[in-house]
Amino acid sequence: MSAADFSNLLIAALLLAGVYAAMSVGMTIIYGVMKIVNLAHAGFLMLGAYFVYELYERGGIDPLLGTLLAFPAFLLAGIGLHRTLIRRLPVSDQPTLASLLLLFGLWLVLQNLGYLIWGNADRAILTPRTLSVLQLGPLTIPTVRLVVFAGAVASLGALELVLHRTWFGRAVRALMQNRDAGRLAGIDVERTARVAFGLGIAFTGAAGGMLAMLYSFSPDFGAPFLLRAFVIIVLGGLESFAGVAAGALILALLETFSIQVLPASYQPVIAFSLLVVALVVLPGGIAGLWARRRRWA
Amino acid sequence: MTVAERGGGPAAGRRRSRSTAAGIAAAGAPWLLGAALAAVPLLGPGPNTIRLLFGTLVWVTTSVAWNLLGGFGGQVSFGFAVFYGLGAYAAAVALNSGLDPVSSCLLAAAVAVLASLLIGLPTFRLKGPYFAIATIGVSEAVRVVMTNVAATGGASGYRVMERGPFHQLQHYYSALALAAGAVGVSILLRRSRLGLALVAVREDEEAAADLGVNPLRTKLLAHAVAAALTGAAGGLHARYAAYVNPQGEFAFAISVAILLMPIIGGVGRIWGPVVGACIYGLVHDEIVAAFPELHLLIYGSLLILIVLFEPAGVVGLLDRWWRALGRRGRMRAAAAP
Amino acid sequence: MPPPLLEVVGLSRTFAGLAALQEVSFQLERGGIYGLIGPNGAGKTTLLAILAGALRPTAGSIRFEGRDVTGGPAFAAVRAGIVRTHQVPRPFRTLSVRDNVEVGIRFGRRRGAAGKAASDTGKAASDTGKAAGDTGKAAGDAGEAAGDTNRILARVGLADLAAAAAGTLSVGNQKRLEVGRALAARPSLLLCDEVCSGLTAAETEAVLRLLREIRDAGTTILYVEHDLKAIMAICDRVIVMNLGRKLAEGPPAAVQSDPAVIAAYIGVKDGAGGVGATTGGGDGSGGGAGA
Repeated sequence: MSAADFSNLLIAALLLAGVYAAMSVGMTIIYGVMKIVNLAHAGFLMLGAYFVYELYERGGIDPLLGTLLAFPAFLLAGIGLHRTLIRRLPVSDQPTLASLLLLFGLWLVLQNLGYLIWGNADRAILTPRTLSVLQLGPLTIPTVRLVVFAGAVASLGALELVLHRTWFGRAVRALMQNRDAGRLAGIDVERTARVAFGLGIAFTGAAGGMLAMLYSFSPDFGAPFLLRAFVIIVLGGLESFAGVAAGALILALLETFSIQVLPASYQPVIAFSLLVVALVVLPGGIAGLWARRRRWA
Repeated sequence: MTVAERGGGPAAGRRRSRSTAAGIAAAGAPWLLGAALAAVPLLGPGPNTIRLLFGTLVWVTTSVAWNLLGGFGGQVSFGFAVFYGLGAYAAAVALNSGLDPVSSCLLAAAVAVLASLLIGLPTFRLKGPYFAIATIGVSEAVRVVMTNVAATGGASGYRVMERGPFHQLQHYYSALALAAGAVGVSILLRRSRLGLALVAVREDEEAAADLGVNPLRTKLLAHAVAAALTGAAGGLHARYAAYVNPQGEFAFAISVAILLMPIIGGVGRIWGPVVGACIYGLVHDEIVAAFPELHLLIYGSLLILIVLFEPAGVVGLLDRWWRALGRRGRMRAAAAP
Repeated sequence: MPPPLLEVVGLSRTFAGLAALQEVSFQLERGGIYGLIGPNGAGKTTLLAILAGALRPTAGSIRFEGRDVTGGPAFAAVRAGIVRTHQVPRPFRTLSVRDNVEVGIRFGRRRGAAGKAASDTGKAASDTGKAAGDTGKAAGDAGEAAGDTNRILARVGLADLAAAAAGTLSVGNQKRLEVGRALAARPSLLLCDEVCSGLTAAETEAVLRLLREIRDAGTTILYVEHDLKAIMAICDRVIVMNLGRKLAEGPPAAVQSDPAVIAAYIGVKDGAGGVGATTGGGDGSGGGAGA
């Protein structure tokens, strides 16, 4: 492999990592605050993709702008969902079977809605940007990937700002560490959880839009990304956003470079193998999964 | 396992005799059901009916099997298709190599058990939803691998070339026997030491370990039994359909169906999965035929409703009505002069 | 000289920078009731968890009946004979009280292995069962198990609640169930974590009586408790911890008047009185009637 090839792959991996991180952040927020694993994650990625697609096809709105618009739209959707369904779930500081099944059921419903509205043909967002390429000396960078990366980084930056500079963000971080203590400290847990859930869905929807710029999609779009998001979160330590970035980078690097040796259809195997390796080799890095350790921390 | 029952008082006697009658009915019903199912072919139903019943019986087996780990043990796997598929392929290969049907099924079960150990060892360290998601990953990974393995036909699938004519009833009775066996295993397990350990692990894994239960061993054992039954079911399916392919046998939809049935019927109970499988098996084709665009919506909404309103499924609902009827009867009796 | 029942050397445990236990060492001899006291955050529950195998120490060793049992999983500790109760009861909610105890019976230490120390809960008959050892014949075991279960339920006063779902029990009864379950596992060393907290005076007295019976039947007890009167009334020796270290050790009377102990609990004042001195008892024979 030449140096130029290597650099291109490296850059491709970095750009992919950005999107992966943005995609996983939504799940992390929801899990951290509510201890709910959002199995409907894939469904919202899919809806986000179609949202941006529709805005582009019907309104001629640039997909990047569409992604930006997806934030408030999905924020509202998430809050509404919490009000109607999620808050009825039994509360616990451990993930519950009920939450798992509820969100899985929701995923099935969302998938079906997708099929009803858009049919099962693959769609793609094709803009002039999609095929253009940036040439920096020996490096070839697809423009759309760069643009999406920029969007991902911007959204992650915005999240950091919200988490560390706003009162709401502080409440979220507090709840992520200790729900009961947060309640005692005067945080309105119900409201914070609701908005946090909305925020998680918002990020997921927006990420779906970003992914739509890179890949074609259909209503069952999202299952492989659900798995990837999970691997990333597990690698990164479940409730740490820096961890998400690290996990995303590792996964993206592995996937990008492995294409040299493995056929593309084996991609899901990578994500899964990484998961097993992480579990077996790094149990310390995913302390959150081990209820026993959490209990005494 | 016993549940609270506040006894005492004059009405208790009536309740006791009522429950003895119920007890006798409960003990006898399964045998009656089995006999009825065995007798069905004598009524001369068409081959389509037998096909439907065959399919339903295969689902009963997988449903009961999943419930061993997911219901009794509380470990919710979203990846049982891997055992169904591996069993199907193992049986298919065995049949094509000239092995007799029974041994092929046993081989299917054995392969599934081996897989369950390999899968369980790393994944049972995970709790709840993490285990569930890991099982999705495993199943998908195996599906992808099987799609690429040329020896078994890859994505185009693999045909089973069995010598001799096709006796539909033979398949039907095999499925009935396996389903009956599965229910028997379920009943025995529930009363056994392993069953006690499973429920304890489900309720509180650490507390169970603090009393001497080895949680990993318990889960692996239950997983193995469940996998064996599911693999055998896959083997029966492979023989009947005479064709297996990765998209059909390892599909995520299969894993979903396998777990939907016990949940709809009543997870954690003995007959819940049977009821759920019957509902699903008999109704699924109708639903897909009548509302081809809506079946995911229906199942998804059903799941949501069950989680929010009746976690014990259909059997739980029936249970509640039965007890409400009993209460009304007692109140009426108490009010009578 | 037989080895001590339990020998803990230099046990330490840190959690992300916080030292919950630092170099704790002590020995327990067979057949006594040992108290473990200390202000909140002293590391008492952490110590119990490590002894029971639910938590690994970051340093140190544990020898039980002469064998090294450091860091083993919880179920291995039970097989060796160390069983703990939980500070906050953790019953198997959907199982009946009887079945909860059954878990302890079926998965606790095997009868044959219980041979040397008379650790059983005073069963009168079925010594033939013991002689048959550990063959594990299902029917035989089940029959014996039923007998044991009834005995244990009677001991902890839950006989008429045997069929109730454990989740429906009052807190007091759940604590009894904790003890019952642990007993069912046939421990040589029973680790009790605050079994008296939240109980009335009468209930506390009943629990203390039970603990004495357990000790008399041959089980050694390590008893963590905040109720200092209870501790002083029942314990032969008391270990005091503070901030993860062992602060003092000795007979209750001596520990009570140890200035370091007083300082840890109350803060240095005029030194009057002592820890748990109100009943003036503390020689292990239940002086103040637990009032």
